Amino acid sequence: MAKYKAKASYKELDDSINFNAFGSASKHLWLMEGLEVEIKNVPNKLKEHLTEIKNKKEGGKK
Amino acid sequence: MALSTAFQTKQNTRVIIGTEATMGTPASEDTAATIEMPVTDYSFDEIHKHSLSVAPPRTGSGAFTQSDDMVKWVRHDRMFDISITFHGTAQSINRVCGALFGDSDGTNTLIGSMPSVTDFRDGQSNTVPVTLWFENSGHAGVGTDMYFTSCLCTGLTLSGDISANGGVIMCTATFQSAYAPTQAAFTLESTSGANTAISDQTTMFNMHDLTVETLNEQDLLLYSFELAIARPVNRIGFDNGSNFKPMGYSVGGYEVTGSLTCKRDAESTDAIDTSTPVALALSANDVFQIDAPKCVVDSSSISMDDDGWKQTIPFICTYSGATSSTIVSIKTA
Repeated sequence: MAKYKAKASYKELDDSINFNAFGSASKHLWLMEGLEVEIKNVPNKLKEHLTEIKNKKEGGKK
Repeated sequence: MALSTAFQTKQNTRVIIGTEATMGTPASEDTAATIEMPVTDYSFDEIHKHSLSVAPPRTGSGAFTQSDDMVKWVRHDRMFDISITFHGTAQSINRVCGALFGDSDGTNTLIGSMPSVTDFRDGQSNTVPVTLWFENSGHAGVGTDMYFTSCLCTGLTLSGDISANGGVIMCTATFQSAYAPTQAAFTLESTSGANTAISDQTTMFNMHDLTVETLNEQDLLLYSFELAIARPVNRIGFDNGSNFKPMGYSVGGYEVTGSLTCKRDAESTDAIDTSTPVALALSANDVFQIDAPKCVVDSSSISMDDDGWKQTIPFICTYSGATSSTIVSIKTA
């Protein structure tokens, strides 16, 4: 499963657009803390606000 | 006046949770995402809920009674309580976890920094509050419904018992709303939104399917378990010109507790022989999965039952270190 980090633009998104709106409050909070998060399906509206982490075996998701 | 022939029954009532867009406005009949809950029982407060406030009687002869100026209805602080008990399906658990702590994607992870959404003001955009719709439960029975607007989930309890309810994981969710419910014809199965029907929820989780039952990495022979997540919700203010609707809600902190009842043996006593937090893992083939990495075990008790001694192990789930750490996850897929 791919891992992602939030771009600065993600942190400016309203709750009606960010991962809270997609029923993933934990992912939202992890992204807001700058952690790498495993995400199976990234909503299209959020793709431009996330950076995929490639070739990393260990991540920051707790 | 003639006696009414209308009545209501539980068997004739479906229960649907609808996702709202704006606090104080019920979920849309046209566009809201909804789920029909696999409910086995439910309860809710009467529409005219209130308390009475009574002034003390005056002293002295001729006034030691109560006039109607001394007794008043109190509605400014009322909270309507709703409780539903339902079969533990992936969809039903996901939906209630979403209402309780915002995670409904099947990983359903409660972490230390939750809740993510804390702004609950009347009239604000907010998808956390839900409308609870009870079909045919209005005063006229069939054709008249009752629905509660902007309910916040205050608790979810999951319980499994190897010898009760066919082993089905049973769940009870509690909600509160400071908005007066409505009795009217209302159809909360939207025409353009996503509706999850009962027929979509044919698989329910079962104690008999558990393949992993460990505490502190010790294998337990588990008879039953319970896991409860609860938080307080309070109303803020009131508008007596608008049926005492609130100005908002405040939400309190989550408390996650539970208990295990298992055979008393070397593993069970080893599992609790520590004052440091231990991991709880329950899993049914990695589909239904409860993981609580940092459980603090409370004082255990012994049941000297005829079919063998059992141990009841209560615990509190916590997070450790960073607030991004997991308290409990209830995986359903």
